[in-house]
Formats: sequence, structure tokens, C-alpha cells
Amino acid sequence: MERRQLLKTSLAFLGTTTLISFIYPASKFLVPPKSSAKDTQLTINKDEIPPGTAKEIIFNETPLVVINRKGSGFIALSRICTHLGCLVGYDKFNDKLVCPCHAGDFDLEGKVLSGPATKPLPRYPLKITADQITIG
Amino acid sequence: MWGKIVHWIEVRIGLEELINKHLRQFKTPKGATFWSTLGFVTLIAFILQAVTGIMLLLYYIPHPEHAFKSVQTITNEIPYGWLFRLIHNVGGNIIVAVIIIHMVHVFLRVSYKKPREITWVTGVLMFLLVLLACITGQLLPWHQTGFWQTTVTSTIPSFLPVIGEGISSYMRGGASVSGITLSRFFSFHVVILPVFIVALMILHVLLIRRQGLSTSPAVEPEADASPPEEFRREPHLEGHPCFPHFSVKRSFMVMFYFTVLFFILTFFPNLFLPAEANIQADPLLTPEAIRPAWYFLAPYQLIKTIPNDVMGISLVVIFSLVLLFWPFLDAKDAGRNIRKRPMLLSLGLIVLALWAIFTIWGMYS
Repeated sequence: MERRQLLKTSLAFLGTTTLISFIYPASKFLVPPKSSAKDTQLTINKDEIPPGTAKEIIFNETPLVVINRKGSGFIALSRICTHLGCLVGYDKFNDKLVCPCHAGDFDLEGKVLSGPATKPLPRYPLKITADQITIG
Repeated sequence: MWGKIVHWIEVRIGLEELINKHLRQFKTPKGATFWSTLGFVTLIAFILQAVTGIMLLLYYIPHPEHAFKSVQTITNEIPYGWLFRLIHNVGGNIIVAVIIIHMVHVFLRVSYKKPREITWVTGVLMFLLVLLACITGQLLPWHQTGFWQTTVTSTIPSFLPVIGEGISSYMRGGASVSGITLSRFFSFHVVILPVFIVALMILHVLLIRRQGLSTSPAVEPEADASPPEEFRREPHLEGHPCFPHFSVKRSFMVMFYFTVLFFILTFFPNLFLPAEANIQADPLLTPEAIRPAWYFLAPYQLIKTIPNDVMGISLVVIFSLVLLFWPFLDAKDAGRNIRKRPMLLSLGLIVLALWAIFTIWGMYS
């Protein structure tokens, strides 16, 4: 191999190695870090949510709504609309959850009533005692 | 397969013509050595700083309450965050060293003379802006070292009569270093200064491409005989094509740059990060020994040594102005061969020696 060819090949090898050494950590660096939210539980007093009302909370960095349904008790649902991620709100006059972005409606079980969403709102497990509700 | 890809690109872009026109037909002079590649190395080093800087921006929060924590998160929690932070930190120091060596080389070859005065001026302006980028960058991690270095640096201009206080206040955005200073330094560091540096860089490269690389007076003594009275590009007929001959030299030096960078990263990762750089900025507690970065030690020690503050800062300003406009101050009729100009050679060596002495003095004083 000629001297110049050897030099070129060496440089190409070194250049490629350098590039890969940069691209691999760069791709790792760009991956978003895992959420710092821990799998903790959240407890609220029952008194805070009288029947026919709802309370909006943040649980492990996710916005939730805890609803005290007349006759069927408490339920915790994610407020993130399954269409495009806007936050749904509780419509106490019509007993449903409404997404303000594209008029998606969900019932108080989280199922789609109308609108563009196709999946129901995720439900969160609750532990209910005499005075308190524990989420998670 | 590779040939097909190259052909596909060639049909659409005409890469071969571009390479022929701008690299093969662009001749480098016979005396172009590894030293002549330092401008290119600086360009690559600047691109590396820009890339790593943009990456750090993804996680950095420019707010006094979050800046330190966000930098600690980058260093300790984000995958390879420590690597990109260190490359940016160490690279910021090496780039200054590369520019200084590049300038010394250009000075010793007397390449700044007609018709390359503007090239020199844009180069020195870029150097000064890079130093400003270093000053503004040191505050961003909001650690003790950066905070108090900024306090000292932003106080020094206040020694200047009449305009001094105004400059200090303008730098800080108030009477002391605060969140406003952080916002200012952040915008200067990531937007304003890079925009000006890139603009000057384009002009600098454009001038070099238009005029051709300067010849070495030792190798091509005839070129040094009479400076041209009208524009002409130096053809360097006896020289080599820029590509692949000179490009191989450039690539080698870029690799050498990376070798130095990674040598420091591996064996001396904290070379430019003193212990106080791991402590959050405390405006009520000045650390025991606050020194500027190594490239500011000489002017810092000069100002400290001269009892009159106004005289000290004035000397630094005058030196910077002389450096900036040196091509216009150098004797017009003198030749470019520095071996035939002992006065100029002595002047250059004396300035370099003084700079080294003041730097070492500043390090240990």
C-alpha cells in the first residue's frame, strides 16, 4: 500500500471511529430522561368531593379527575383526552367529561360518548375507607 | 452499492464539479505546513462547541434557582451528559489555545500585510468575541467559580474613567451579578455572540478563498517582493491542490485536536473545573482564591501589578487595539520575511514572553 493511501485509510478509520464515538452517546443523551415521579399514593378526604362534584388533582405528574358520582360512588380518571392530549373537564350539569379542543365527550366511566376520540380515558385504582380516598 | 449512491448524488448535486472547482483547483502554497491548518482546526473546534452547546441547551435552565441543578442533572443523571458538558468546557479552553497559536503563526509569517489586513482584523475580532463567549459562558452553570469570576470580570471595566461604571452596569444589568446578569449572559452566549462570530468567520474564509493562502516568505521569497496594487488571487502554480493533499494535513490536525481534547477529558477531567465549580453560587460568600481562566491570567495579573487601576485597564485596552489594527501599524515598505526583520521578531517574542510570565505569575500569585 502506498504511503498516501495508508494515510487516507487511517484517517478514514479514525474519522469514522470518532463519528461513531460521538453519535452513540449523542443518541443516548437525546433520549428524554425517565420521569422522576415515584409510584407513591395520594390520599384525599372524602369531604372534599361531595356527591355530584369532582376534584382535579395531579398524581405522579399526570392530571386526574376524581368524581363522586351520584349513586355509583368515586372514580379516578385521567384528564388527558385520548384524541390529542388536551385536558377534559367535568360537566356537572350533564354528568359527563368534555374535551374543549375537539368537543369529545366521555361518560363518567371514561367511555367515549361522542367526538373524535376512540379510546376510553384510563382509570386509576382507588382504595376507599370511611373518611378517605387513596389513589394508586 | 456505494458507487450507485455516489452517482445518485452526483447527478443531482454535481459534487465532482464542486470539489474540482473549490478544492482541487484551489491551490495551496508550497510552504503550507501543518501550522497552516490551524484556522481550519479552529473552525471544526467552533462547530464542536456549537453542537455540544445546542445539546446542553436541551436540559439547561437559565434561571438562578434552576441553573446549577440543571447542570448537575446533565452531569450526573442524563446519559453521557458528563461527556458533552466536559467536551464543551474543555473545548472552550482548547479553542482559545488554538486561536492563539494560529495568530502567532500568522504574525511570524507576517501574513497580515497587504492585501490581507481585513483578514487579520476579522480574525482578531473573532478572537475577542470568542473570549467574550468564554466570559459569558462561565456564569451559566451558576457555580461559585463562575459567579465570582463574573463579579471580578464585570468590575474591571469600572476602572475606566467616565464610561467604566456604565460598561460594568451594562454587563451585569444592575449593580451586582444577579438573575438579570444570567439572562443577559445566556442570550449573549447562545445567540448574539455566535451570530457575530459566524458572520466574521464567513467573511474571514471568503477573504482567504478570494486571495488564496499566503505564501511562506522562506519558501517562495519572490512573492514577498512587492505587494500588489490591484486585486489578484495568488495562483500558487507550484503548490498542491487543496484536496486531497492539504485536506489530509487538515484531517490529521483535526484528529490531533481531538486527541488533545480526549486526553484531557480522560486524564484531567477537572482541569478547568476547580472544586468551587461543584458548589452553587452564593452571592454572600466569596471563595478564598478566585482566579480568572488561564487565558485571562496575564491581563488580570497586569492590572493587579500596576498600582494605578486606570493605567492597568488602559494598557489592556491599548494592547487589544494595537493587536486589532497591527497590519496598519506595521512598517509599510518592510518585507514579509521575519528573518530579515529582527526588530519585529524581537517584539513578537518579547510580547509572548511577557504574556507567559504574567500568566505564570498570575497562576501562583
